[in-house]
Amino acid sequence: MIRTTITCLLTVCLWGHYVQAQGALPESLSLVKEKIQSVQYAEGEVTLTTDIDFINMPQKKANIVYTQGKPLTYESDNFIFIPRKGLDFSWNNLFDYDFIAVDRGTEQVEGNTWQTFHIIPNDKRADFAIMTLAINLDSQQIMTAEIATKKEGTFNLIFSYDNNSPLPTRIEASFEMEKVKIPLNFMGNDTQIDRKSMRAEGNKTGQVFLDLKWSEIQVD
Amino acid sequence: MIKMIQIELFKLSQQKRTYYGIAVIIAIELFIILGAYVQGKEVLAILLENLSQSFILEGNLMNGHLVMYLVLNSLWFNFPLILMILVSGIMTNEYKDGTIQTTFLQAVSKREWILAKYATAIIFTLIVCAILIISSMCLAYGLFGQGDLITYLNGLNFIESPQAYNRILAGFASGTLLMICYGVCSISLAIWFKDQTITWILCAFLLIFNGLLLKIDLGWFNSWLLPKVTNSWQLFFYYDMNLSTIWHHHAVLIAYSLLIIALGIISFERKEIG
Repeated sequence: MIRTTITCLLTVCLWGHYVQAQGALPESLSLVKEKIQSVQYAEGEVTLTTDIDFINMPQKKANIVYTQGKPLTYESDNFIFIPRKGLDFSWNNLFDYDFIAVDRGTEQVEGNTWQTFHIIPNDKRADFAIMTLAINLDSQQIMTAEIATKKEGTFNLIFSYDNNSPLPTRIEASFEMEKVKIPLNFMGNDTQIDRKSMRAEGNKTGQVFLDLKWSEIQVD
Repeated sequence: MIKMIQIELFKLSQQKRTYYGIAVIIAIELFIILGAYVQGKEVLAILLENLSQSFILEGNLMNGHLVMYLVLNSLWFNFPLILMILVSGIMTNEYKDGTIQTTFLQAVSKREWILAKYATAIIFTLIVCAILIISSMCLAYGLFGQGDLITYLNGLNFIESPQAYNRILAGFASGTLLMICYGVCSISLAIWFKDQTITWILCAFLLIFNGLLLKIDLGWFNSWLLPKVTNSWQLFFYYDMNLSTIWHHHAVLIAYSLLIIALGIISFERKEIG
């Protein structure tokens, strides 16, 4: 009994050591936040490539405009679809609500030091349940993110940057999704067969690659 | 021969039912476009429901290309029936009115006369198809504009607008070839059965039979039976077109049309007039 009580107390103490509330944002995260929020305006072109087994789509291009504090805007002559997670460069979904950051330690990746955090929101309005962030301590950039959303499944994001740029030049987004529902026969002639195989296959993992070419980045 | 075709076309143009038939085809086309518009939005909403959970969707998918594709999908049963009724009339009217006996009292070649009937059927089919294509394109692109075409064949396919336009045209060309096949078929049926009502019933039966067989997997015969190549136009809407299958299916369709014409001519030449 005494041993159990001591174990519990030690666990709570250790947890308290690693956990920091937003009021005391870990320094590394704070630096990342500052770097991201230094971008006032940016515009460029995004090239979207999909790798989803039941979607056949050519490469798509769109113009994007980012203004701090506003949702990202897209403009394209063609139909495009952009992952719901990964292009929120302000990370509003992270920094706008109170959260708990659990330090999961550091590791060396290609000569850089990466620090990993588990982010658990304290606010019901946050649209994710838990997020795992890996940040590059040398360049103050978010390198990977695993976001378990409340309604939209789990997204895995990998970011690539040009040197110390605050905005990424490539995003690889992986996600899980159900195969599409087929509504009516006239959309195709083999829908009956596909519907059966669809049920058997269940959820699918897809990948979307976004290559970003920034023509202008205004930093304050 | 050309004079005979001109006479046949003139006779068709003087018949009220020709215009009624064309009017009905256009009315069906309008109805399909209206239905496509109303139902198309619903279809897209359901089709993209799962995608929209993970993605922000930007762009207009309910566009002229999709409407044209839905027209193509919906039209190929109603349209051939009316067309076959109109085309078979070229032959059945001759039997019904007894004009065939009068014609052959003169020095007219049986082969040339029946060839002129088939040629008229093909020309008339081409004219009606052209009316249909032009009017539906004007309506679809005029009302809904252009954009990427979405189809569901071996997965969700997004076909870019310029390519979609070419594929729609190719789909209509393929459909026209099928209509020619049905047209010559109705002439041959009229030769074999003479009676107007029986010919119409058989035309309807042929279309229903083709529709039923289309859904049955017949293995090796899938590439060789007429009913299995009647939806060859759909091959243009796969993301990666299989050109060898497309050529094969259309060659089979042409071969069947020529065979049906040949059989019709042979049996007409062997039959007694009257």
